[in-house]
Amino acid sequence: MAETTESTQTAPTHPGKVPAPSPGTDGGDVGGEFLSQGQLVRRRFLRHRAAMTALTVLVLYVLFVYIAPFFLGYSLTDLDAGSYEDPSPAHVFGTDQVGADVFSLVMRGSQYSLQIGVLTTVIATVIGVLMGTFAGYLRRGTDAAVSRVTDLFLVVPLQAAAAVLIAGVGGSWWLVGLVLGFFLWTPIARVTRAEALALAQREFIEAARASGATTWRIVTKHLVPNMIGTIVVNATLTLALAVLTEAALSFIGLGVQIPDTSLGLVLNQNYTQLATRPWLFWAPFVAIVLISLTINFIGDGLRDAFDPRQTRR
Amino acid sequence: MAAYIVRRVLISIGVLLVASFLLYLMVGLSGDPLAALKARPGITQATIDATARSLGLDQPILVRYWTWFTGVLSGDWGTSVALGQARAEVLPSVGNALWVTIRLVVIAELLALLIGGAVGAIAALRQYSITDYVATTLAFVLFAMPVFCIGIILKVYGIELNLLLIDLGLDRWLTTAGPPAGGFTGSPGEVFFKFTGAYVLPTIALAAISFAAYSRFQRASMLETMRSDYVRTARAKGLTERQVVLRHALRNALLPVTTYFAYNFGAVFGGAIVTEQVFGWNGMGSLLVRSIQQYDPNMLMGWLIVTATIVILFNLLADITYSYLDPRIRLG
Amino acid sequence: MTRFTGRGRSRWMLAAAVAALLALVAACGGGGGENNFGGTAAPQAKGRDGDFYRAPQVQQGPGVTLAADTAYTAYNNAAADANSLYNAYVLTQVIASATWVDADGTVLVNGDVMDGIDLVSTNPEVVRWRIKPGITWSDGQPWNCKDFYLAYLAGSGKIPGFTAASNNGYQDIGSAQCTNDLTFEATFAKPYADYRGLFGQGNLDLLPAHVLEQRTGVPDIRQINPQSPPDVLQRITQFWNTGWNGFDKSVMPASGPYQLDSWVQDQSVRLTRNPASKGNPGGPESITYRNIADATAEAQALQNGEIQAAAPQVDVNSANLLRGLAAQGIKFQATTGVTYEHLDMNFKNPIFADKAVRQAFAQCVNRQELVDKLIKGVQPDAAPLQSLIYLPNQQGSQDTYSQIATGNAQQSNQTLTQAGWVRGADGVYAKNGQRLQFRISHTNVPRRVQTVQLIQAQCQQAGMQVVDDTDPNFLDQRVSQGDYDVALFGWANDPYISSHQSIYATGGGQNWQGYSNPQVDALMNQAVSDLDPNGFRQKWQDVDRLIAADLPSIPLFVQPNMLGYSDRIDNAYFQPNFGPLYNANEWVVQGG
Repeated sequence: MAETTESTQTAPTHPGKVPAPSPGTDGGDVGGEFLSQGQLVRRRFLRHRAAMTALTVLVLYVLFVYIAPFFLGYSLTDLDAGSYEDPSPAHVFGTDQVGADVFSLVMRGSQYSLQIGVLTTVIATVIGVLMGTFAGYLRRGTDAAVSRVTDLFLVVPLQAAAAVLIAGVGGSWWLVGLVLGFFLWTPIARVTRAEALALAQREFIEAARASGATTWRIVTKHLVPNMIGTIVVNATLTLALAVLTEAALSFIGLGVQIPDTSLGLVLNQNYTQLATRPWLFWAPFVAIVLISLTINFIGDGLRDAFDPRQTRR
Repeated sequence: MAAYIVRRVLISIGVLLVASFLLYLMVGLSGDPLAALKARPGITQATIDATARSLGLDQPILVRYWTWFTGVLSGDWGTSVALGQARAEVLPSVGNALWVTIRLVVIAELLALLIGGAVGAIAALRQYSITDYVATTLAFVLFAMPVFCIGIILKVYGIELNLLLIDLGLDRWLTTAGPPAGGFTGSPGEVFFKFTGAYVLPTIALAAISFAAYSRFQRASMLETMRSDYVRTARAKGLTERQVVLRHALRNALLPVTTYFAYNFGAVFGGAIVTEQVFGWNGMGSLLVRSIQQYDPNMLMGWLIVTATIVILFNLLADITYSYLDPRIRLG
Repeated sequence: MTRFTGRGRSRWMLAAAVAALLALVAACGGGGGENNFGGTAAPQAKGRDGDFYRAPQVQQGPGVTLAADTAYTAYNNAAADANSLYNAYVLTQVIASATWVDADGTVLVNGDVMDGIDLVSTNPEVVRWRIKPGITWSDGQPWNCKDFYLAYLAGSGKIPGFTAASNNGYQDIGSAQCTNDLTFEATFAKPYADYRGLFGQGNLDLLPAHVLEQRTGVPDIRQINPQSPPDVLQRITQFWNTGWNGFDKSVMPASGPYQLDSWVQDQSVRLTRNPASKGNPGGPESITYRNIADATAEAQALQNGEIQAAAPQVDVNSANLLRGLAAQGIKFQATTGVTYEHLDMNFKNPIFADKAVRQAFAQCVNRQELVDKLIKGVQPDAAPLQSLIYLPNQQGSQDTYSQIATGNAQQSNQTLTQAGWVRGADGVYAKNGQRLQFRISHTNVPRRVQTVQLIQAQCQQAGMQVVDDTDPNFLDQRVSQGDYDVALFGWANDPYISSHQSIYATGGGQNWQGYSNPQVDALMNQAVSDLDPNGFRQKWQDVDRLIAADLPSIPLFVQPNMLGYSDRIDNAYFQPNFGPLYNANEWVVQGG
């Protein structure tokens, strides 16, 4: 069943089609052929104009989000300004109800959203890769067990399950990240399982097994490095998904709780002004779309770079 | 084949049982349903104890699960315990909410499937054309968009459109806060007018995201089909391109999208939760939000189990259809 | 009675709380007293006639739809499970009460069903309710003393099976009986000043006793008392607790101007005129109460003509939105409510055991800025709250705090310096090695976070380091254990002034901050049993001043209520205890 399961959670992918790994690579000793493979990937990615633009924009935005607040000259505890001032050179997106600078709020919301997204992605990728690789490599019982666990995680909509758990454990940004990661690993597990299944048949894995390598070593030193393309691509897509999911949850009040914040929460507090003070809605909205769009572009570029057969599909 | 179906059904039931237990633990351990009652002034310990007893809250959680589970099997899903809800029965509450949501979701998904499928197919057939680029870009942007923002934007401009209609001497068309209280009444024309007015905005908001996914998926699937051997064979037989596309390629390319729709149902439902909130539909979304905020364990369990059952049914359906149409799967 | 509100669901808890206490709305300063909760412009009901309310003759118009953020759920709003302010919204039009409370808080006798409420004797206190002859329920059965007796049984607390949301007042009744079909007489075991609030709207509504008799097989409810056979009591309490849940018109007759017509769970409830009502018929042909959770969605639905009135959760954005719709025929009101925010200082913390610190803290908190930035966006004429006992415009309200809580950092510095505190190099005062640093604990309600943000900035200038302690579970767990330095939360105040006793009495049930002053204790004991309205009020005003001198708490502001409505409705108002439908039967609605 697992092979056929698809979900919006990742864009359609074709698991099993992988770049040819070099047989016999062992440990850190990277063979020449693989190196050229890596160079090839890098070159293809660099030539992917949309992805490179997206990457540049995203990197600049992240730097901006973390550095700009230091140069603004006021903090969020600086509330001398009046309520809902219009945009001005001092407050480019105006002020909110208590007189806080909305630009600073959007920067802070972006920081939190990015942090949550990254934490979610790390958790989801680690769980997903381990589950998927072990299932695909060991097969039989392990595979069946992982498959059932995956089924369990898919029975309830992600938003609902995460909301219930967040209500239980608390809504600080890192708990939200953990919870989302805990529920978002299944697509990665599915993809890595399929790939591990194919890789496990190859000679270099058999050779490693014959030479007495432990399962853990085979998984971490042989399988995972050879699936790096798939992992990176799917991690990227998970990042975009995490940012959007968190925003949606926080928007309906079931995600991040104050005093922490996120772009979803900033939107929640300001979206009602769309008709009268449009900037209060558009600023956080554009921030979310900017983040999620650039990440998707990068993911697309990475996929093309790792899997040339799908280029310009 | 029959054996496969039986096995899949049994596995699904097993998954549902285990899920119900895990969900019960998760819900049961995440709050105290009597917190609000305890905090009420003038409330006596005796009342609190009596309420706890009548709700079975003095029992350990495993016992509570068993009581709840056997209750569900016998059709008793328990009642709400939240203050102000007057011990509302869980099953009818969830049923009502589901009826509201499912109408919205089904209409939106059918629309998304139709349009997404068509656009994806056309984009694939005219690969690298302007149409393809526009469709691909649109899907890409929509895919990166938060659902609720589309709703927010639609709503504000929907009201503007209404004001424009009134200026033109016409009636208001779009409604922004759920279907009207008394249902749709009047002449067939009026009913149609009101019905579309109530549905059009949330449907577009929901369908937009699904459309993005379906059109991308359909495009990829169509491209693959067009390159496949049997399409090449069909062409070699001398069929016209039109025949090739309609009889062979499209039909085969539609299958993955349809099953994808079934597998995807949980995600669609999740999107509906948020969209509903924006448009003030009191369906599954508002029920979930309320049950979480008031911490209402029975209601939450009812919500989760009903949703899980639907998702599992859709998955099962997709699995069986797929295995029927693609014999290779049976091995799995 | 008072009640804190908090968590994300503040309005909801407030609802439960306020509604629980509504019965006590009467006569805060004693029998017949008035309290004006309505803000500056509370209109008088059209049907007000001296001490009575009688539904006025009004022009009949088409049906209206009003939306609020929580659904109507139950007919028996006095059952603990069911009790909510939102049910009270609807039931004010469906179930007649002995009294009728006007927008300004004046308690009137409901002249459509009552002949009078009399204080027959003061020692012991005996009160007589006289029922008008010929009043019936919408199912044709008589509306009479049985219904009073059932409400009394449920609220008395003497039959433990009833899960009444509140027993206040009823539990002070020593004995009660129907002297005839139309007269209910109660003798109080201890003096109870707020007797006119009993059998009032909102709490312990006068439910149809005949329905309960039919369903439980009890021939006459008036024969039932705590000594009745347990199985009979069990049937009665069982039906009272749950028999009116859900929706079944056959057990839910009406005695007010409107009757229940249809209900869609979680969506809406529809009322139509009650033909059996002896009062003048209501204006709107029907009243539909809808549930739209999101404040903005409500405002937009009103703008879009889908509903004719909206009472959303208090939210500055929707207030702005509604205010901006004046040109589109939408009227908007923001009026003073009954929930007030305040800061409680904990005497168990050595810092606050020092009176100078309490004074200095009160002096650095700029309450005017809090009101300007947090409340005025919704209610432009809002002002800081100046008393912990009486709310603004309530009879007995006084300015106790404007000279104490001044919002002047310099004054605060002086107070501290005189008391021997020394400002350190880091700008924070210290004394005997103790830095002037403390937490303000509160739930994660945005307004509270903003309040603390503002106080942090204000008191930083006064050399205090305020730490923000946002904890979603603060009100559920920590506050009642006194686990805080300073607590920020709200009390939902009803006019039952005596309820303040448990907050400020030594060892009182809600005195979580450890405040104790024997003089205050003694005066409160005298006040609560004073049946003379003026004496009652004066004693409580003295209590207010005594407490202010000790300064255990700082009152901040009262939260407003919001109501937007189409100008096709002639006069709508948000009655702070019962909501926007309290006078819906008087609405003249223009067609369209």
